[in-house]
Amino acid sequence: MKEISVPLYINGREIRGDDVALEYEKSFGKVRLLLPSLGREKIGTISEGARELAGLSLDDVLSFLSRIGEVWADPDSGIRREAFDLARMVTGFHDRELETDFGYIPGLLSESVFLMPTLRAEFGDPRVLDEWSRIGGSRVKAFPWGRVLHILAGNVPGSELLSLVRGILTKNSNILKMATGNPVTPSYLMRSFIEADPEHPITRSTSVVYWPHQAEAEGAAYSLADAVCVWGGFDAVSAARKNARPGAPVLDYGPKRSMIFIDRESIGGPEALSATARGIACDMAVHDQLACHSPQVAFVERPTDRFCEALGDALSAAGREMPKGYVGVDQNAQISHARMMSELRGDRVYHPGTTEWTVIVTGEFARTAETPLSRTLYVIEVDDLKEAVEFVDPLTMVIGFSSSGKLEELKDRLALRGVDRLTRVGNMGLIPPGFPHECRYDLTRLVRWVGADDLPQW
Amino acid sequence: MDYEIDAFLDEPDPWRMDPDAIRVRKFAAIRQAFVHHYANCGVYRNFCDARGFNPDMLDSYGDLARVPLISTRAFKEGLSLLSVPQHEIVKVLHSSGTSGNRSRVPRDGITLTRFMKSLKQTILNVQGGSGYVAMLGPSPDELGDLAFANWARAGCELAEDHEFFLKNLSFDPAYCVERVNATKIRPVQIGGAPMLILMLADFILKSGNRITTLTAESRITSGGGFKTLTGEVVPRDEYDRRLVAAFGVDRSNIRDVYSMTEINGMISECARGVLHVPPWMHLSVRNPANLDEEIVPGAEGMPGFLDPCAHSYPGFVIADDIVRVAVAEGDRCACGRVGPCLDRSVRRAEGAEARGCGRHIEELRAGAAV
Repeated sequence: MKEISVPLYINGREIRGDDVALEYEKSFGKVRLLLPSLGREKIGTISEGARELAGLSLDDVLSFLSRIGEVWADPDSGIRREAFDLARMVTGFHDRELETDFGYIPGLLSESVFLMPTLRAEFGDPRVLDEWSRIGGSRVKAFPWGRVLHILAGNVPGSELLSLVRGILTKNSNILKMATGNPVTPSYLMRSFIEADPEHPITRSTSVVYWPHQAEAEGAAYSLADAVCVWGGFDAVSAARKNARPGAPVLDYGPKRSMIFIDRESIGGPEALSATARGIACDMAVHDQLACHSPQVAFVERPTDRFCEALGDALSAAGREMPKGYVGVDQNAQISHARMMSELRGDRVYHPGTTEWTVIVTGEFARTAETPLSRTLYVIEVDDLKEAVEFVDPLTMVIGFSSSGKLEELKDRLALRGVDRLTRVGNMGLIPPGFPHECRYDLTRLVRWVGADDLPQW
Repeated sequence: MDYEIDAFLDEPDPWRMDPDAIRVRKFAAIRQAFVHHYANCGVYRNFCDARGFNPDMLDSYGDLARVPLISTRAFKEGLSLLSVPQHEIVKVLHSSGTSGNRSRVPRDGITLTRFMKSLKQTILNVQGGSGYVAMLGPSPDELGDLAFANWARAGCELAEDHEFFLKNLSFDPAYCVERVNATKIRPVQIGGAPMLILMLADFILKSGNRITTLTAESRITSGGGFKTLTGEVVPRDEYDRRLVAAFGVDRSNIRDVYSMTEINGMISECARGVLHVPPWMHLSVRNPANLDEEIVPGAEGMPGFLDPCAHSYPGFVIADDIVRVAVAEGDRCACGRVGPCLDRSVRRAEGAEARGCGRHIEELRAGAAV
């Protein structure tokens, strides 16, 4: 078994050790990652570093992040190559998926592509992060909350960078708690900070940590956190809400799932049918359906036979363009059980004879709750998409539409049901600057808005 | 009507029969059961028809690998899997777990009788149990219709004396040691849930208050999984090590049992540490990526069972577990009994909720104020 040491970082300083072993067995054989064990005391030393970066100008912040972006933009960068090689062993994603994910990193760190458009979209005038600005009848300035603890999820490489970038743009200090599913990218991001400037205030206020489930280090980290960003499922989000200090904002990302709305016209002719199916297949292939924005259920106006067949073809084609990542025995077992249960219930099941993809036409929405993922889509037939609106709730992140017309027609009703984002199929995994995430603008939630009135004396 | 399975269950020690004879009798019993369920269970018949399989196609032993298997999840969803009229159902045995997640399996008198016979065969011929049984669990009366109660009941019916030590959901290890040391009956057998057995072991190791009545014939038999109340899994090696230290028994006498509510019997470890499938039950370990294929011994797969003891429901099931075959069918285990045997590394298949973002969506939906 291959053994690889993965360092952790406290306030930008590397810590190595081998007390914690995490084992993975995906497409490239067994690998054991060795990490140092961080107890309560070690986590406590994070408090010796800067609590926030209020003294730093936004220009300083953007300039530093752009330098990091340049490191990740270079395909020959040692850090990027090492991170990629380790990520493919640990995450199980196919190389093409990881190439796409790594390809997003420079964009996310680019001032012109993502950072400034996002700041403008969320703050209007981002100078409010640097100076007192007049808003309405008040003078206000956006101050950092302090230390932000990011509880990361391992399902989608890249989400950790989005979380960290939000924390840095708002001049907070940051503690990244890596997920067991991906203890690679955060560690290498930190390495790129150190390579760029080991003494930079952002480097010295960033920590990358790990602790096993229910370790006492967890309590120590929460006690230091002025705000928490938590990514993941029900258990992770519930635990964060329970552990966060009173008054500390908890920004949760998950648990969510996404849906697709297909109207009759979009699948009427062969070309439209094929384009719609291609878009859906693309959305299902991204991150092998592990992300919140991945569609799990499609409401389709009758009849659906040709649609399901076309979607099957599109999924097979998508499998060639973006091959599925590692599928273990357990995951195959879940897919097989789901198919068998659907057959027993009398649902229609489409698959290629392997576990590559599955389309299940069911009459009962409740059955869609248990999905094996791995490119599985439940299809529910409706006479009119209006019937589907009642199944949307605040746990729905994205709805992908096959036509703009239906999106426009239903957008207000769906918004009131609690959906986060509406888009066209094929775009469900994209995050344009300015997009509200979980129905929030979180840069504005990661700052304390302070007012200093200059009203005339009474 | 005479059923092949009933005569099979009356054999004195089926694990030591000639493997060819076992195949003949097992096939006859399963074929008879398949014909019965195909004729009488509409849901199963439709399922078989959809998969292109009917009784005419069950012609030879090799065809057993093609018998359609039902996911054990079907019994959690309340699908109508009855092969007898409803009024013939005597008990609906259920699994443990939260009420929404329980397997509920309807059994008639015929099935219940075979269930008890099957359990007793395993206890007598694989576990070697009788004498005094200290059961670390609640009595069958307290367990109600939990399938586990039948194992406890069968074990105690075969014993000369027994006592249940989880009383009103409370376990007193000191009292247990005192009672077990007081018996004059040999051998003394200890059985129950692994966590209670560990509690007893830890009490003994801490207090030095040892059990003095255990002999070379004593077994410490557990069933139900090695998870603690907080969900942590106790590694089997550690479990064995603590028990050897506490009870002073040979490691080969620490046994575990694998079973599920949907089958009528148990798969019990022998002294060699492998799990013996009852000879009348057909083990068909399927390829998780293609359930129509069996996998080769040694590879990981999903355990399918063709259980001819089931009369009131189709006992042709496949579980949410991952197993490896340790001894192939027809081969003999080093203990002398005939295979097939499973390696004891049986585990639950990891669910998608552990990977994705949308865990507990339905529960959350139920609670959402929409």
